[in-house]
Amino acid sequence: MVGGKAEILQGTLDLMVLKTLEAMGPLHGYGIARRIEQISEDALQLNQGTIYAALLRLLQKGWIKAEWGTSDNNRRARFYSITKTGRKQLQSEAESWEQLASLMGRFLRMTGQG
Amino acid sequence: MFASLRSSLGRLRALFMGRRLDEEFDREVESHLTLLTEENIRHGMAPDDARRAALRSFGGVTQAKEHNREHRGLRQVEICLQDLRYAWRILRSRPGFTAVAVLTLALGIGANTAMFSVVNAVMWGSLPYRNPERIAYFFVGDVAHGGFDDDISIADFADWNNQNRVFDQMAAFRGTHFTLAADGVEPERIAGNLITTNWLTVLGWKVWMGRNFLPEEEQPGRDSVVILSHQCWRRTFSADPNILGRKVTLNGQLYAVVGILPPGLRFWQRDAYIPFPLSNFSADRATLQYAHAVARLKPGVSMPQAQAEMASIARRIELENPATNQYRSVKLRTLLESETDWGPTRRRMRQTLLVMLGAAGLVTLMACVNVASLLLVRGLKRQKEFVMRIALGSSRARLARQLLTEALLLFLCGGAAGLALAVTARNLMVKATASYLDGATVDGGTTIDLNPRIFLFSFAVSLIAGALFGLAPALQAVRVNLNDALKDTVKPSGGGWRRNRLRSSLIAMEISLAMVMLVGFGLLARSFAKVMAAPQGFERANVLTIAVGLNQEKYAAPARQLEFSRKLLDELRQMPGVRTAGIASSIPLMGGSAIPFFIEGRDGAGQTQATVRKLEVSPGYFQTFRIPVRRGRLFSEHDDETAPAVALVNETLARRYFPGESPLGKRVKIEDPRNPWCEIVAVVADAHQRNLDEDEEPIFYRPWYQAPQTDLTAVVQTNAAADMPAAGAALSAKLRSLDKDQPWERVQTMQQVIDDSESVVLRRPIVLLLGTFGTIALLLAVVGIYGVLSYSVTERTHEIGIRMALGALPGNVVRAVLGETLALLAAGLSAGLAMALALTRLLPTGAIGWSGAAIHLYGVTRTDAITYSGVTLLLSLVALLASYIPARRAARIDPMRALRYE
Repeated sequence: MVGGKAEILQGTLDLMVLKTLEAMGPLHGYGIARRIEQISEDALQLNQGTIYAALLRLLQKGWIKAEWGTSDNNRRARFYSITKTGRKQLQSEAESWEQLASLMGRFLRMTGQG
Repeated sequence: MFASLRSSLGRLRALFMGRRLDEEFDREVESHLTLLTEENIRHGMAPDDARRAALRSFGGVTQAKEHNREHRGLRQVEICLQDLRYAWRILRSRPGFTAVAVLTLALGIGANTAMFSVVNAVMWGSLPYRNPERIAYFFVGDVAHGGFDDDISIADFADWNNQNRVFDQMAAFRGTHFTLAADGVEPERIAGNLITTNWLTVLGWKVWMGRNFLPEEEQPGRDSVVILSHQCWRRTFSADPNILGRKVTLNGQLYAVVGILPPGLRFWQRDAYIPFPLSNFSADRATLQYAHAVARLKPGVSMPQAQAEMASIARRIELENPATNQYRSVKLRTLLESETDWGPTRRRMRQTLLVMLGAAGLVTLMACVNVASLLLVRGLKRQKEFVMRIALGSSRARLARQLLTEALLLFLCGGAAGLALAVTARNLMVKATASYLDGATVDGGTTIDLNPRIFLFSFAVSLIAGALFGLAPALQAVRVNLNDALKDTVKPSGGGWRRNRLRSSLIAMEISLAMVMLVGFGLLARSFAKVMAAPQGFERANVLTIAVGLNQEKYAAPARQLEFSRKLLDELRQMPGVRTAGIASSIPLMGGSAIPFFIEGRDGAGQTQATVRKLEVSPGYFQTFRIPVRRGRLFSEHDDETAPAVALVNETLARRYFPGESPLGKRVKIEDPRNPWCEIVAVVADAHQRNLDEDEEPIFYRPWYQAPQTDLTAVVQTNAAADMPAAGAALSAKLRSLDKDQPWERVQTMQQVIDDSESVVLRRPIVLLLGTFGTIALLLAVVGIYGVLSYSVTERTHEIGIRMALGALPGNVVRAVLGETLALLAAGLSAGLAMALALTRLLPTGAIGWSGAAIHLYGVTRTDAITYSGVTLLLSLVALLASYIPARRAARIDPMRALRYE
């Protein structure tokens, strides 16, 4: 927690990757990492290498797929995109996250009188 | 579900494409870093800084790659494959060690697999019938009291056939013998079957060439058709392609060949099959016809249901025919069961084979022990490697696993070589165990099938043995003390005996296993020798025999039988070089029928419990076999059809049925209570009528001329051994000159009859096999002892050098090494003694009774002193010889060089 940057919560990275792919369409690993950093406005401390562990997990679950393609500046790169099951999974995971987040929010706002 | 399947598939794919996936991921990471670096340059960094910054924000590149590698595939399997590859390299890098180990295992596992293939063929051989478990085989008799046999009456058969609703088809058959002749074919005597025309259908057999019998061919007059076995067609008719329709004669009657059975299919080794015209046979219920019944169950009917139905039908027949069918019930067995539990000889054969499989297991065990001790020694030699690997961070478990993989690979290679050995030795094995394969299988198949069970067996044996015997060396090897081992620059020295406890106990175990094997061999070899040397009660020197089957139609009348046998006997007596000659219904070791026996004044009308074996013999029979007469007179030419009925008995009969009195002058009769009485005129000495190792039985002799037969054996004794070949040739020529239609029969010397007798035929292969196993065991023991001692000498070179430098003489050194051998010997022999005493209980002793016995001890006890002391002596001698070379090497150690020895 040094430097005020947040450590990434276990398991949340997968969800972030999935959401990024849903919102942005096919992206390579670098693009995904950059996008997550931008969204978090650089509040998140991310070793970009760890993105590949998440990508492997999602690939093995069949929620995303990968293929080689060419990047905007003509570099060969592996592009990931979300699959149909991935979308479904994202929806249900997002719902449960929102539930949990609002629950945690209410819980932490709790005062002695309340 | 699908997700997990996909994940597994992905992992499996990763397993086989490891390198490609590595490269792919490397490229991906590289492209990531490039993009990041370019971005940094765009933000104004110098290229070098940009690259460094990119690496920094990526985090650990190696960690990411390692994570990817570990998680994308099946890590454990990958480690296994890696271990296997490494193990393979290790084995190949030490061809000498590997060759010795694989060869040892090949011997051990090969012996076991070969033995198993015989057991497999005999005990679980696939029956060549369609759904054999749905074929019922009929037994008839007083089922409730256990007295039943497979002979049926034809009248009963007809009723069963008409009344049952459980069988698709019911077929009857009857064994017989034929004299087979045809144009251009020498007459030959063969076994055959009369079969109802649906018999092949019931068994599920199809003819290979030609056609099956037609239903109408069961009618008398239309039944002159024959189906031959494939073997008979090839052997006798030289595979004549125009065999169908060819005319042959069977017992002098003309038959047309209509079909040939498929190769390898023969029922009870019978060669010719002709229709069974049931209406020709007696419909008298009382007569059991030596015919047998088989039937195929209707679909959906179970064997117990059929059994219940047949029992009630038999009960109904019994109530309607109380005079003939009292206590005559029906018992069904499947064809398979009827084969497997038939007869004491077959049961004993199976028991023998199982004991032999156990003996082969001992050989396997010894081979495994040998290889385990080799692995231990190898482990010690590779200690530096292990220490290095552990020091570099390999876990001990991982190392043990690697070593176990090596052992398993070694054992599997050995198993494969053993299987190859067993397959190559298959013909040898078939030859060695032919009597077992012939006698104990349903169709007398003389082959060993290579079925998957055998492959599975040798695979399982090698895997289990590898796991068991690879584990201890692996664990021992990784139990190194890192500190000591790294510091240790001097070879470990001293305490050879205690330090190598595991190795030494393996060798002691080896000696004990060899002892068990050799004791088993010794006891059975000595039994065999005793059987061969046992008093037989008959002469074998210069005796020739020939079995003759007279044509049953031509010689149906006793007068014709008498005429033929009188002429034959005259001819035989006049042959040059012949001392005596005789004719008999059977001869020693060839058995004879067992029949009821009645004594005048003692047995009521038709009630007797006594059974004797009966023989019809001509004058000259006892002289030829030199069977002495104890009391009374032998048969003469005058004991013929016109003279009063007389009989002779052997000593056992006299002792058993006339204890304390003279049987001479007593009147007895056999077979049927309606037969006339005959007077006992002499007692002759006992001669073995069945097997050499069986107890003597009561025998009843009748004069040939009062009861001539169509099946006879002629015997002659020549004056000298030199006369035998000429007499043998003359014998069969004389027979043909009396009747040119007589088939050629084989002339056998009495020695050949002995060699072909059941006890010899069953015992000899077992003694040979055990001898082979025993030799292998001895060899393995030698190699094991030699290996351990020579390693121990190498290991102690330094110590021995010091001792010699301090004044020890070569003799002292030799004594020390031999002392180690003696300690191993003492331990091994005492353990072996205990094991042998326990395991020889598997070998039956005592009365042998009525069955072919191969592992039955004869004339020796289980604790036979000669066997035990001989084996002990042999093993000690061999062990000392094996340790002699290492001991001499130890004595020649040069102290100066030994002290520098590292």
